[in-house]
Amino acid sequence: MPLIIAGRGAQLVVLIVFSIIIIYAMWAAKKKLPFLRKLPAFDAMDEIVGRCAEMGKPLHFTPGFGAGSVYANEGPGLVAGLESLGYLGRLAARTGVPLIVSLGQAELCPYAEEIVRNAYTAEGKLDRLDLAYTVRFVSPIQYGYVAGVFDTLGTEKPAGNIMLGATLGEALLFGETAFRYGAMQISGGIHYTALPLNAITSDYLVIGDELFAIEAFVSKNPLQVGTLRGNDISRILSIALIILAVVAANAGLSWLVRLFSQ
Amino acid sequence: MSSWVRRQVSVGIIFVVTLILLINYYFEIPSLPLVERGITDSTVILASFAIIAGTIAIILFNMKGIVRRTAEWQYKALQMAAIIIFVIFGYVQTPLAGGPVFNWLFQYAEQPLVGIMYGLTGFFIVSACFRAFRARSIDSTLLLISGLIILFLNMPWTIWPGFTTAGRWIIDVESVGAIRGVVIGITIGYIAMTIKTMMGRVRGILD
Repeated sequence: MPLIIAGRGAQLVVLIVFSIIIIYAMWAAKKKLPFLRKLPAFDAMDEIVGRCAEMGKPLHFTPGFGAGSVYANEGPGLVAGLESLGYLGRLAARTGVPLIVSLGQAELCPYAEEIVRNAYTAEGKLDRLDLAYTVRFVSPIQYGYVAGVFDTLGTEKPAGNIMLGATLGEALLFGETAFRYGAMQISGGIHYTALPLNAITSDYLVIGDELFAIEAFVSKNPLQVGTLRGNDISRILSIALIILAVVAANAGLSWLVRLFSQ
Repeated sequence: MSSWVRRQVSVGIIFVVTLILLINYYFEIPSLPLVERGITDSTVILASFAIIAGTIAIILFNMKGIVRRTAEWQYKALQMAAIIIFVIFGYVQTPLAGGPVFNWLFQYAEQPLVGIMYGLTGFFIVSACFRAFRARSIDSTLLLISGLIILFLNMPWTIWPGFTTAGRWIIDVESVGAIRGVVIGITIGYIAMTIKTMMGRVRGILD
């Protein structure tokens, strides 16, 4: 009986190679911090929180519905979205802006509460935090979650709406509703199907893996920034492999094409 | 237990569980599928308890609003009544046992409401497109032209066959290439996220 499951050998090799690249980049970043290009959506976070403070209105954040569970494929996207919540929580605590987090996954509630509590504690404003008001589990059903967030947006009328994580069709609904209440918006996530919806409703867009970069922008931690460098190198390697596969397929090198499918 | 020890134990559990799941995906080791099954069953049980905690949070939030008579507290009272009714009939008549009242409530109360929300999507799309499809810059003009071509492609009658050709090219060639690029980037981000999680470098829950 073969040890490696058929059809997954090439995937395993690619995973190991990319992992080594990313780990090496994380280690190398400790010596010299790689250059970070500007990410307009990240810069806009400060602007949005400042706008909320000036207008005396709350800031609304949601990581999206995903598949209704953090254990589905959208899990890493939801967790990555909540990483940005830590930064937003600190900004909200510092400026006194009420923060509202709407969740469609019950298992994310303690995670989000911990993040917000840590953010307020870091700013020394824990006494101002009302967790029951801030972190709201709305519904594990997608359109129940949509209806609940509609109610939140209509009642609270936030001046800023940030949707980062695993947004699906609800990005369109929330984006349009928040726009009608004059909110400035950032949205984006891991679902490519929702990207057009995010693009036409939001002021700033986070595309795909930029979501995973926000933590690096926030902390400037060498490990986090090094991860981005590793991602970039892996991406270049992916492009090279694709070109190689295209050339091999057109040149009739079937053994090379079969190698990629082992 | 000090916070440092608690953190290291958490990271250790995450590392071991992730490694088991990865190894089980790529390698055929006889006893491992059973372990993987145990892990996934555990996550289902944890998720169920999380639903209970989330429901309690919803009840507390809404009860506070009802007691304080906040704006539109009547809708909060309606939501509480709906939760109580569904919980009662969910326990008394489980849907798996073919509970008629629960099934009726689901089919004729909840599903139409879901349909209403889903039906709103079309109107929101029209509203968003009316806002977004403006020829303000080169990018927005390209978006406008592409949107119009796809719109003409999906019309019930064909105005000009060129729209079909151009529309199919946009969908089958241009969009697919862009989507695959985004998916590759996201997948690499997932790998990095997994490595950071296994190393305990994900901020928030382990801080």
